[in-house]
Amino acid sequence: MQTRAVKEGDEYVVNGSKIWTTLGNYADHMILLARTNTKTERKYDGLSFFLSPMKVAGIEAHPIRKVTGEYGFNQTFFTDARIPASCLMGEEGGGWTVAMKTLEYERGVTAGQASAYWGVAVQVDDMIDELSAIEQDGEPLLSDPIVRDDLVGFMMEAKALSLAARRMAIPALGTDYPMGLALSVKYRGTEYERRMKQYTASKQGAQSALYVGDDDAVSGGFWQRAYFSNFGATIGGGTTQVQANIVAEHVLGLPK
Amino acid sequence: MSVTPNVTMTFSEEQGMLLDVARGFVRDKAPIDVIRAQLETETGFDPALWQSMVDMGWTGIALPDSVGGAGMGVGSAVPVFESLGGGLLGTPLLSTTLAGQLIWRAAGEAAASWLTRLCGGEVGALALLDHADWGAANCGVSLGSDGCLSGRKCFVADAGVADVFVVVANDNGEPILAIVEATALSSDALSHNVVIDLTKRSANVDFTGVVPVDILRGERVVAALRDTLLLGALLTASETTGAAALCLSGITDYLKTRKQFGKLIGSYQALKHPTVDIYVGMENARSFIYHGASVVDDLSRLRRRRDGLQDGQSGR
Repeated sequence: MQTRAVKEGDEYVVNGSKIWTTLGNYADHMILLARTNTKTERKYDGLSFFLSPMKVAGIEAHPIRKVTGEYGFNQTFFTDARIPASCLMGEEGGGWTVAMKTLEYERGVTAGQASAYWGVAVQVDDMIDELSAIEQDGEPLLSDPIVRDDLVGFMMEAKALSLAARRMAIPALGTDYPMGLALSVKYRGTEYERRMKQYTASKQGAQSALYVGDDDAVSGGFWQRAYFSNFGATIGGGTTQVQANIVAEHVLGLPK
Repeated sequence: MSVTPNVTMTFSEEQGMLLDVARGFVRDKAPIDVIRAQLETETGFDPALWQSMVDMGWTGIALPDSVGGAGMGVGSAVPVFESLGGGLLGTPLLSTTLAGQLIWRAAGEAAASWLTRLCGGEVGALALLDHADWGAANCGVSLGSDGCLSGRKCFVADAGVADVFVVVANDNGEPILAIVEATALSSDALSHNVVIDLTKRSANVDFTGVVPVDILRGERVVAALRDTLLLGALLTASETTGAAALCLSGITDYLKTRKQFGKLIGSYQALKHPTVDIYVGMENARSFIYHGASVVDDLSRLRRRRDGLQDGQSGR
């Protein structure tokens, strides 16, 4: 954590840069975790949590182009930027605790995603509709028993996710791992969606290779873009591997 | 139209009580050393344990009270089978429950005498398969004009301890259910299967020359068979989901105690991550069986869908 915030009177002076600032080029305010003390014994104790204004001199947000061709993330540069000391949230040096609490919301039931990923909900029905229109060697793709088998697998996964959401409301049906369903939501959901979108794109024959912007792309390249975009969901807010560790340690009680 | 619209999930107070009682029963009466002691025996279960299950009314959970049952529906049997699977407790409860459901659905109160016997602890077995091939029509055993059955059935679960067999057979092309008492079988009628699940017992049964003590026939037989296959799938899934949960806790216990090179092996991601996938699979299965339990006592929707599929319509 290199970005420094140094208190001067009733202001902090910030220098450094932050990356993956979600929608930072539009935002009026940002969450800023900065180092206010470089000499603490534990490095976490030198961090402070700010709700910083962004439209101030010395703060510049530069949009980053993603693999999907879209924008959304930014790199934010701080050059002698002065922000009010009242922007400090919690105690100076107590930023790590506040940040971890904030991340709980991102990783938990309300797992979020940069660049309005949840704006388009893609259902297993959409996949089946898309694949219904595709032919393979002059036969409907859906007459292929292997494809049908795969689709049943996706349908079952989609249904399992919906059912798990319902089951969470009935504590008596989850007494042996009480927090298990809630803590595994992101792990289960984002990986399923990534595979579902990858599958749909992969069944478009040679057109699988076409992307948004090509007139011949199936459904305008929707599935290719959704697939790439979904990779973000398996990374942001704690990668799939981090999520698996959380479930292993906090649900199954495995050692760190 | 959506493929996943129905996410009904209910859990009644009765089901909750059955779950608590069944878990407690398995914990107290069937710890793993008791289970192990039964693996090598001929029947695979302790008759005293079976009698306690009968006394608790488990053989009649899903049957109506007019025939000696508790009238709680098949959905209420799900937590019991999950708990029994969670203790690897292999008893003839599944066979007896399914035999009861098939008879009830095919004949109703006209067959009350058989159902009362099953509720009272007599073991029922379902003689269904003619071939190892699941796709084949299973009416190979036939009823002759002399009133005798001919043919044999494969993999009849709990055949060795059954008091009553429900045999799926055909009478000049009409599907019937032949009720056969174990005492009518010849001494060499059973050839036992060697199955991978050491807690289960099954046998091939030759019914040739046996005179059924009762015949259930009529238009309800085929529908009853179809429904019973669904119920069998749900209750088997319930039992195996319980067993999967037991395996998972065995895995995590081992990962938390076994050390290699001075480190608990459960701290390695190479073991953590596959274990999490087993956990997720187990939870998914559990969601499905409780969804099944929530909808199974009204099969009308499933029947419409299934019959539509058989008429070549979209099942969605």
